[in-house]
Amino acid sequence: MEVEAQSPLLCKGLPIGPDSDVKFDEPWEARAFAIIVRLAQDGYFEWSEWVECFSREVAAETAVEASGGVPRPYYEQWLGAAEKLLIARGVTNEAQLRARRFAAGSVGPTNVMK
Amino acid sequence: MSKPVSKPESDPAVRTRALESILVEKGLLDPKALDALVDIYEHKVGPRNGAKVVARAWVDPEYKKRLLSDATTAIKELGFSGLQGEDMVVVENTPEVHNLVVCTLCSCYPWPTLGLPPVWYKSAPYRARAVSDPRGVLKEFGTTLSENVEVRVWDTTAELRYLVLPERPADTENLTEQQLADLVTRDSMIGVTTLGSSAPTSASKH
Repeated sequence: MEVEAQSPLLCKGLPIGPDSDVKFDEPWEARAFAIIVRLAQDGYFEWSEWVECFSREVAAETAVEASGGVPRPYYEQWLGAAEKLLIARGVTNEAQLRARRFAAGSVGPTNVMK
Repeated sequence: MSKPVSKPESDPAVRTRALESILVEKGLLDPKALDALVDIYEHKVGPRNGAKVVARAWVDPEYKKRLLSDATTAIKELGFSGLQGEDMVVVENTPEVHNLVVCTLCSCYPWPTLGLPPVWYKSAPYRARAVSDPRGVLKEFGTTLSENVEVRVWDTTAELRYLVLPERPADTENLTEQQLADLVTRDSMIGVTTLGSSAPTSASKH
């Protein structure tokens, strides 16, 4: 993505801090991360395919941040891209995901976001 | 980092569970394999791997030559290889050239040698500013380079990951390879910092 010259991102400080080294804030983040790495390892898709899909998601959130909005957290972008890629690949679809979320949400404690 | 309040149906933990269960049901995913991967990324892969590569290059000129000409193979010699078959490129810092790595598109990163990227690496300001204002970014990490040092910025891609070979700090001739590896930081291998407070501020020998 081309960065516009006046993008406010260019004047933003970097989030350098003690939290920088935390790998995963929540268990689901590690899960979502590993799902994609594993499927790519198994040759289910090329890594470049994933990067293309994920980059689009990141670009959209970067645009949100560039216009002063609050982007979704990194691993939510990752998860959103994962769902899109697997829908595009015909592995699942919106309706199935919705139904399954309903079922998954009703068993066990949900991982409440802070 | 701010986290918006999620609606229950869009709770990412639930969404992840839903996605995983579909994949497992379709026989595309083994939950045990996921556990193993998570364990690798949380505990086994990290910047210490890259530090070993750097220290080896400092003590072994032949290894360094191999590392700079074919990093993927040279890194594999030490037992670290990519999970997605990506190629590694090692770029060497010298008194004249400083290298900085970014992924402007998303967050591609040399996982096998550095583990998972830090929060700032994935942030939009870093991705934007590393290219447009690398010296400003370096300054934010406390790194000030002399004006005549050329800064080269490397944009990572899905197929190509970069690792910076930092300059060996001065007065380390008597250290063992392991001791040298202990000096190497993750940030120096991304190129946002240099090593050693003995950075040449006055005229040093080239």
